[in-house]
Amino acid sequence: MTTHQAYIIGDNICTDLIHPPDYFSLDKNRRKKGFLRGVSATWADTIQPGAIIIGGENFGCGSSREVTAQVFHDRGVKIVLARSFARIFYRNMVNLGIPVCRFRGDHPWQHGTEITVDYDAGACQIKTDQASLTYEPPSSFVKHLVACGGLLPAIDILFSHAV
Amino acid sequence: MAQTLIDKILASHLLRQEDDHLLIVYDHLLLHDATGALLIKPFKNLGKPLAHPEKILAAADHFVPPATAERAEILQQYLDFTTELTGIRRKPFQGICHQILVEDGSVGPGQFIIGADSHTIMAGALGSMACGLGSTDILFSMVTGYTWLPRPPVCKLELTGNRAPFIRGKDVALAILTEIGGTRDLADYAFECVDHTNDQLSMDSRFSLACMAAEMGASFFIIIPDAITTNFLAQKGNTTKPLLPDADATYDTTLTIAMPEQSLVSVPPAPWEVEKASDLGHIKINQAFVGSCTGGRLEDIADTAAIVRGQKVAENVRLVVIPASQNIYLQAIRAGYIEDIIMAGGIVDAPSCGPCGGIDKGIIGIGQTMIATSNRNFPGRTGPGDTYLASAPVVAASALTGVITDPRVIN
Ligand code: SF4
Repeated sequence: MTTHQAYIIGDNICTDLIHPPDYFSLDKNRRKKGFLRGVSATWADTIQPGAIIIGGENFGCGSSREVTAQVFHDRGVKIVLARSFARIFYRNMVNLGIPVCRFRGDHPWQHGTEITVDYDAGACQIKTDQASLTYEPPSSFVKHLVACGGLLPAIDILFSHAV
Repeated sequence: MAQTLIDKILASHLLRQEDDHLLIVYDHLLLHDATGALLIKPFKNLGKPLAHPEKILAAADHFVPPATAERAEILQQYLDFTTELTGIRRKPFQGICHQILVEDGSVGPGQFIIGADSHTIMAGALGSMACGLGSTDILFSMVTGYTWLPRPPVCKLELTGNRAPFIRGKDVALAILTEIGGTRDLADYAFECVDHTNDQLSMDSRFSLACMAAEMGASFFIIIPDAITTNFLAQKGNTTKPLLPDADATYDTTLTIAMPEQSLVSVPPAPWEVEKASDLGHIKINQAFVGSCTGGRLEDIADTAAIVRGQKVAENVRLVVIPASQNIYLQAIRAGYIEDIIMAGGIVDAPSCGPCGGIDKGIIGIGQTMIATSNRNFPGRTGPGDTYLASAPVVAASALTGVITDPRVIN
């Protein structure tokens, strides 16, 4: 299992902070630069692929603009955990095949902690001192979508015909 | 077993269950130019036919008329795209998509409706389940004819008390946000709202309330149909007998909201930060905006006209009024409201989203303040300034004084 660096953010992080509308562009590189820029310009410049984002309540509230989820994919985020997600944002993430899970209570970590994740089992922990966080493991429906790479790739695999 | 309305609608639209998720067939699918334009390339790449073109209603409202050359090009691409989709219902330039949807004769109670915009939830005011979805979801539904969802927990929401003058659906929405907004306890719940108030909310106020359910984080927001609903439906020629919940249905939770006694205002940076209008007289405004899918209906324009009639808008304050649809615009002209507003110094613009999404005419600049009947005041949403949200009576009263004003002071 590989380790991943955790980025910790607060409650009510809206889609305009996750991806400021200024960075809405048809140019992928410009789009990628907007990632979390409303939260921290430094993070926007430095977050590496494989990062884990840990949010609080109501993560992704606001707009249905799917680019706010797409940038997590573009920047290679491993998984996003939050106490709760705004519904449309959660769906957009699942539909794009990006692992998202909910956890309860407080998490034990500081920003920058290196942790390991077992997505299917619903747990992540620090390699060194074993402090762990359990989250609701994904339902098998969501797991299927993530495994297929998202909703559209799943059409021919999971959903055989139109009605 | 006794059923909630949510369970009845889900059962009547169920294709099949997949694990803990339901595959639900929709009755209508709503598109608009801004998010619809994002679908063009992925739809062509997917290369599948539409499952039910007749269920698709395509409006054009965000970039109408376009304020920049780039938006004119995006709008044109969307218009060309929807023209090629044979068999869909196209209604460009008729007004804001959510208003066009509820004005459509075939849209009514007991239906399941999806749309490429978060405020699609507004159609729940007619007794249907309606929700907004992102573009991948919409694309999937366009080609399959259904969508996926977990069964949402259901909250029975009862509105009680007496409705004082100037209290509108917007005030009720802000009262609910005061109760649940900050804690987000009821995020993702589907609401079944029953209006037990004396002097019930009008249909226009109910649309305004249901629209703000998007800001409550609700998954669905149904207003249980009653005489007000059936009158509205009858006027547009829809005689569907509304589906109702069973009287003894059990709910996951319940919430009672008493009518607020005075007008409320949401202060930046979020819709759920709510104060009384009468406590905000120290806030100076540069602009007062009556419009959007939340606050641009005939009731809002009538309220505005009644307050500004025979008066003058405060010096250097812009009163911007944008009717939510061409139909509303015509009614407001015929009723003399538009003339009242223009004579008072107001500016009336063509039906569209206007400054609501921060995309078009009427946005505010750095250091400026607006009071608006729209639905969101997150930082940057309506331009770089500060936006306060309120009912049309508060917005119109504030336009006359130049500071946030409780309308009771004016009349
Ligand atoms: S009026 Fe505002 S909230 Fe409504 S659809 Fe347009 S941009 Fe969205």
